Amino acid sequence: MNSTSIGQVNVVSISFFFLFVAITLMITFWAAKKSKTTSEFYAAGHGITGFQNGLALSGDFMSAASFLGIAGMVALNGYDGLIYSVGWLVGWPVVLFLIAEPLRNLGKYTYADVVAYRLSKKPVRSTAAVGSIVTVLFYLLAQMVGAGTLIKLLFGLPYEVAIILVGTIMIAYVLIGGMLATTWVQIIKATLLLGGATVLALWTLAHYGFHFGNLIAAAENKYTIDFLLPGGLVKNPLDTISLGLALMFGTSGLPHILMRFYTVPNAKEARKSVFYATGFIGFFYILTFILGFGAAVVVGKDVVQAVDKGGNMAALLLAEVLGGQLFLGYLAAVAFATILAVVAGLTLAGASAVSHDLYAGVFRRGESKENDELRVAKISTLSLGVIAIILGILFKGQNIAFMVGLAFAIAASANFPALLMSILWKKFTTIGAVASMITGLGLALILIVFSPTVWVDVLHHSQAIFPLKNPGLFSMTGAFLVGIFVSFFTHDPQAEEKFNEETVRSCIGER
Amino acid sequence: MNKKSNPQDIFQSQEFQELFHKRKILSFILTFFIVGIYVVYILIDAFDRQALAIKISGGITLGIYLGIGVIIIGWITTGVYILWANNKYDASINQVRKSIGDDL
Repeated sequence: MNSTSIGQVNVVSISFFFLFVAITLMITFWAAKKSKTTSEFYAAGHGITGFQNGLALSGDFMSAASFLGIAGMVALNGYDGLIYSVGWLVGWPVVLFLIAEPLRNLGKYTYADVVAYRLSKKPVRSTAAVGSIVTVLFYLLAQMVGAGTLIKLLFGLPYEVAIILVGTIMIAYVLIGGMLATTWVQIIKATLLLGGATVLALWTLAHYGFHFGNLIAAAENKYTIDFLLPGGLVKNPLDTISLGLALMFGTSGLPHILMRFYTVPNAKEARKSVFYATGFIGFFYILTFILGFGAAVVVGKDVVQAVDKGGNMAALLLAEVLGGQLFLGYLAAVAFATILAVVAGLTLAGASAVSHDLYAGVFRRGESKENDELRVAKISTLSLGVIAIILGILFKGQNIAFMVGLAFAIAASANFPALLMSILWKKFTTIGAVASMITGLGLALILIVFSPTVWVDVLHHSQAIFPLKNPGLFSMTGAFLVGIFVSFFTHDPQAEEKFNEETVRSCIGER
Repeated sequence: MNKKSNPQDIFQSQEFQELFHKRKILSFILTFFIVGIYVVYILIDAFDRQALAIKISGGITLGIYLGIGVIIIGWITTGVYILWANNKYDASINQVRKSIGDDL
């Protein structure tokens, strides 16, 4: 294969994309009628089923970065791509075992509701809101810059145009249709993506007698046994484990993931939704592994790398070789849709931290009128969307690969420890919670700057000050230790007194 | 009618303590299990390349079985928890709620 049409205007792809946008905007206007209260705007009126929420949750994780990025990583580095995706999956059982049900039973719209349940509202809510906003901003920035680059690569559309297009459509979803529209966009996209990836994987396997072993053997023939074994990713196992822990516990601290648990009616549906989500995500990672191997064998590493150095086009090149223009167009449009759905969820989570936690919870001390809070939520959505567009354009061409890892490290360090301790530990105090969140956020940020990912790759120093690429292991441990230590030396009688009531509610729900 | 609707009383009741502890123990065991499996998997990847190259069936190596295995085990543990929670745990919760006179 010598030529690819990737990067040129693809009529099929653009038609599919416009079809997707048209349908989702119709859903958005339908949802607008049901987004008039805060409960509807933040949580889709708690009317989403466990199965639907499972699809939406999995959609948040099946971002363009994981669909195109992990398939590309497998295509170029073989087995390392599998090690990487395993780290992404194992966070989901942890969400289920430790967080999902108490979160649903104790909170209203955000995870800060839960952390602040029996602690002093003002300091805890404001710190937790900062943790949410910082996590969301890094995640959002990574998605926006990735989107611009990807769309340029896919359609030859100028970077800035792509960013503005994504930003505008995404703002429309959230602003007009709230959580209900955002959830349905995510469900539709997850279905299209899972369907497309399944067809492509089966198509690949069909060339190998529907036997996975034959595909593996072909890869071994072409690239030697090294392709089937760990390579650079586990050279420093502590590094891999640190990244793994950030992914694992970060999932339990991502505001846009946690917020989805409020869209279902009760803890039982919340629980079920994680089971479905884990199944979909696991299935999806197995598919991307097959796609990566398919691209390596059918398309060839050199061709994949010639189109994009990072291998991001591997799955799409495979689709083009096997299914021609039509299938390529379909998958490219789905990749575009994926970006829209993920940034919409992130923006809504960021906006709720501003309007529900900071404005209603801190500024108005929980006494605001519903309409005022809703108005602030919409203003925040618009502002955050505009900020995302501006940052996306400012960071054009920057090396931002570390930002998703950083977002997870912050979530695992600033958000998760305080959330877990506030649910489980009677003697956890307000000052302990605030200290833990600040430590987690600060350590994650400082250590990532000193790590090889920023100090060497971005700032071009020769030697990193902090040896690990992801600070998760140390920043999360630090946040737990500081939270425990400070709580031992402070007292919070009100928090201790409310512990029994909180525990009862975390098990049996609101009464 | 003696209804224990005060959260303090519910918390102290034996039924509640039992279900609360069961859930806590099970969720900790399962969390340690899955984190442990992941760490062991990474350590095998890092230190036993030879073993990972062993062919198990039709060209597929042990390494690939392990990687996909961890993904599937992750999903199965969520299934185990769900089975327990949907049957045993929810039943105990309903019992506690009945004993405090909640409408079910």
